Amino acid sequence: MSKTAHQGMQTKAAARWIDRAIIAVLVLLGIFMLLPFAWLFSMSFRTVADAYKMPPSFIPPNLDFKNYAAVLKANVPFLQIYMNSVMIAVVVTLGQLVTCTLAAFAFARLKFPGRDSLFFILLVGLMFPAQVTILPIFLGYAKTGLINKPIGLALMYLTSSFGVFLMRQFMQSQPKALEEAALMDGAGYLKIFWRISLPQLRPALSALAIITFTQTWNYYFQAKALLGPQNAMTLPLAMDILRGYLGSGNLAVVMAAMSMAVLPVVLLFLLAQKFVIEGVTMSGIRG
Amino acid sequence: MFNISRRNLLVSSAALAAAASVGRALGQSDASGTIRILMNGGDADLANTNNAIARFNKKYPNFQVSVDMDPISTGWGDFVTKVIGQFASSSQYDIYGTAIETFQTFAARGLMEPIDDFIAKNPNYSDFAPALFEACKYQGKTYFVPTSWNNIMVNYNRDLFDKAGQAYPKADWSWDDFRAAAKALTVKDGSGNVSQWGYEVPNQNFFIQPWFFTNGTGVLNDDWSASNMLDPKVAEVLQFLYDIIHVDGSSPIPGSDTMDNQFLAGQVAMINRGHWIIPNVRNANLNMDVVPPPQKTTQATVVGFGAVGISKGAQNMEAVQAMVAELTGPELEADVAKSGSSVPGSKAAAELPEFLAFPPSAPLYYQTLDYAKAVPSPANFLEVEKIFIRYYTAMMAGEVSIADGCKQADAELNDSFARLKASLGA
Amino acid sequence: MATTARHSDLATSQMRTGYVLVFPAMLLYLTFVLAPAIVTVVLSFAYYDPQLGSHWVGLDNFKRFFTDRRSVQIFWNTLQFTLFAVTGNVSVGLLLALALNRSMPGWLLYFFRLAFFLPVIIAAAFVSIVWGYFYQDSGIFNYYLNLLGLPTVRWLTSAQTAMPSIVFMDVWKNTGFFMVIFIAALQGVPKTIMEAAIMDGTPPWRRFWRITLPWISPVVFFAVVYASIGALQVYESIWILTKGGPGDTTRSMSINIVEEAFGSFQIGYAASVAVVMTVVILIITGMQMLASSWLVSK
Repeated sequence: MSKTAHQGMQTKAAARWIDRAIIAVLVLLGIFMLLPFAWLFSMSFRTVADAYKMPPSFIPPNLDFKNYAAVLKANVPFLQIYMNSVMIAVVVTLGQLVTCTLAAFAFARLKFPGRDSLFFILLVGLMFPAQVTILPIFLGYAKTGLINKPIGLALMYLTSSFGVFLMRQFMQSQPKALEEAALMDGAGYLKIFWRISLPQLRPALSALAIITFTQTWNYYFQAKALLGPQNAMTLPLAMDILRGYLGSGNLAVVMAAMSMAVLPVVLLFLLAQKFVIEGVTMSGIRG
Repeated sequence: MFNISRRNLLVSSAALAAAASVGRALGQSDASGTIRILMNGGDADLANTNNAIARFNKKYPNFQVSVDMDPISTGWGDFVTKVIGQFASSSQYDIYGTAIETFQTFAARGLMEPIDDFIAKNPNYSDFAPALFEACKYQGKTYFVPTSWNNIMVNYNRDLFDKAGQAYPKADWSWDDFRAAAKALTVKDGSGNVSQWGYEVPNQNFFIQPWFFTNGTGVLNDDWSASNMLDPKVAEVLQFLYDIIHVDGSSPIPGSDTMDNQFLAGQVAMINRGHWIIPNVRNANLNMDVVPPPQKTTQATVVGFGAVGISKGAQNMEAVQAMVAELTGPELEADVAKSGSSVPGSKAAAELPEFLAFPPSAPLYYQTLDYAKAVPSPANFLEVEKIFIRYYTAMMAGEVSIADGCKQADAELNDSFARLKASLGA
Repeated sequence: MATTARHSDLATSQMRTGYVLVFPAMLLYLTFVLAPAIVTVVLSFAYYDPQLGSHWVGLDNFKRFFTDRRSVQIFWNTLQFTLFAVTGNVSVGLLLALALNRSMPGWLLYFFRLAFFLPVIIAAAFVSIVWGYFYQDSGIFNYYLNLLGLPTVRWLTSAQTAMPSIVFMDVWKNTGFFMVIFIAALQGVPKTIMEAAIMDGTPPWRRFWRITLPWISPVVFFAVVYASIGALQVYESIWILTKGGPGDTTRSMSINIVEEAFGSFQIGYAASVAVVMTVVILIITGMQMLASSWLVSK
């Protein structure tokens, strides 16, 4: 008896040490993960000559906002471009939350003729790279006047095969018992969706929201193909302009622009990460 | 095939003054409409364009003129495709600012309005080198008005030369002089880190050209209709650059980024660039000067230039032409000279004191035009540039031997020319 | 009788609701994915040029692709990148999730979430510029390597290291996403079963193999499929870091398509490469899905 208790204490102590070692490694890794961002911010306060000096130092010699002023003073309409990025990301995220969840519920819970083939057709789209679809969209947009309008980029991503697939996966992993009981009580499908499925899906919804938002924020070549003029551009394209004719732009100024592009996203994430990540990490029924 | 003679440029600057007075005599027009312009370049170019629009609006107050800028951050290929797409979808601009690299591509597709009559009527252009206009022709018709140009010089950091005890290079220096200087200017620290490179072996098609021209050869043949990669002199150039990297260690392997920033930071002693680098150099207070590219068999450098053209079937042609006149007029040329983003096309503008103030050898920009050759720009330039750069970077990185690289590039280039001929024939 | 009537009522109502719910997604999908994809397939049989004239070329574009020795390399590059990036992202993500799936002070958890998830939400087009700066021949990484007495690594300018460098950045950028997905899955592992196993003295390694992994395997497969689809389409990071060079050594199929279409205006040829690429993705993910359904059902 006492021997096993002693053993248990030993393993517990060992486990605690392992825990600590793991956490120490994670901390080092975490710092490494953040280094590029540290450098990004640090470089944004330097002159070019200072930015390339070796040995590198992560702390800028002084807080010089010249590069930031240079971004805002440049003829690139930076704020307008920023708003375009935000608008596109928000519209796309909201759009996908609605369209993907509705479709996923139908695919996961309802029986109707052609359901499986429709779902299959939708899934195939998951494998179509943007390179396959962009050219016809470009020509079509030009005909309909959607070319060079930020909303045009948003429009083409209002739904996604991935979103439907993800939401359906989540729904299928959930118990049907509650829904079946509600059905027995005579509730309609829309009511079941709204009252029972949706509340359970909150974590999945936030997962989809982050994925969509970040993906949309990332779009580079799609934006490049569809959004020509500067006041229609998105942030990743603004960096191309600031990098200058054949790379002659000042990299420190580009870093300042990127810092500005990144900072609000980082702040948003710091404030909302509870919702953002716990939504994903807390699975299922607790909502 | 395209030697700009200096004599051609030395047309009297009196024409400039005469032209200005003609402009002033014009009264205001009450025509109205909109004009959309797509220009390329950076902040300075946009400011110059806005000035031209303001001048235009004094004569045509009822015209709405909008301008968009393309930074050409990834070369001319993306720009051309964008423009072709705009025409394919009837969303083209009325006026395009572009460069020689695109002339044949646009003209062969019939995207531009021939403007010979307009040019003949405009006295301003007598001050421009006729050779510039010559390059704006395609099958006998002129489609563009040249505005400004850039020739590649070796830009060098004088402080680094002083520190290494090296004499500044002379205008007639040789490849060997250059190689010795690059070696002497490379500095390594105790742990083997290169803290200063002697030279940046260039990674852009435009910057590399002088090396071929100074060896009396080129990537393409003289009339830009076929590959010339099998010329042993081409391999000789590539071997020379390869040795600078791998034998002397005076340059890093050319990657996807240009090293402008390192040059400004004093970490590279010499780079091949055009005049557009001057504003950045001034901002960084770099003690810099320029010298023509070193020669092997002939003295030569490369020139590329910007120009303005009118879209086929543009509305309000009279106003559009007046706008083009402003975008290529003496005031704009002066603006180009002052902002330093390029060398102005007009000789009078290039003699303004603002233009000659920096770098110390600024007059060389015009003097080298005597022997400058145009950057090879066939109608399939987009493909040619990509094929060449792809093999060039592989050869410089040592991923493929220079003999094999030249052979493979040659085959691909000729395939591309065959496709071009087929599509032009169709 | 009454139950059958109710049953058929339910069936019609299910049907009606089903169609209504999938309609928005299907319509958008049709307009922005399927129809354009079909147009692209059509284009792949054509020489397309609005000014110089378009005409049908039959299978010429495909012939060009399959007889071009470059295609093989670009194809192989893409597979190589996919293999390493997927393995890296999923395994590192799973390891991180396992490591983080323990009790720790709140502030620490906060730090980890920030550190590992931040790269995910920042655009590849941004971070690649910073990494390109780190990877320079005389950049920060080499400075420290040399300081430690190690030789200079040509991170982006040598065929041997360029692709691994890109994969390394890709794992840095994306693994946090998979970590979050796996943490969610790990939290779903029933506590009762786990506690029972602990009571029985099952060692942690075996608990992982016997309980955790089978339980989260659907999520792992999902992650593999998702990561593969993303990796097979890799574009931004490579474009900004190496532009596909040196030579063709890091060129992916996506870059090839964009260069042909938007760089060289070979629309028909680009369309044919896009079609081939789509087929490749279909085959690979199809095989993965088959494998996953076979393994999970087993």
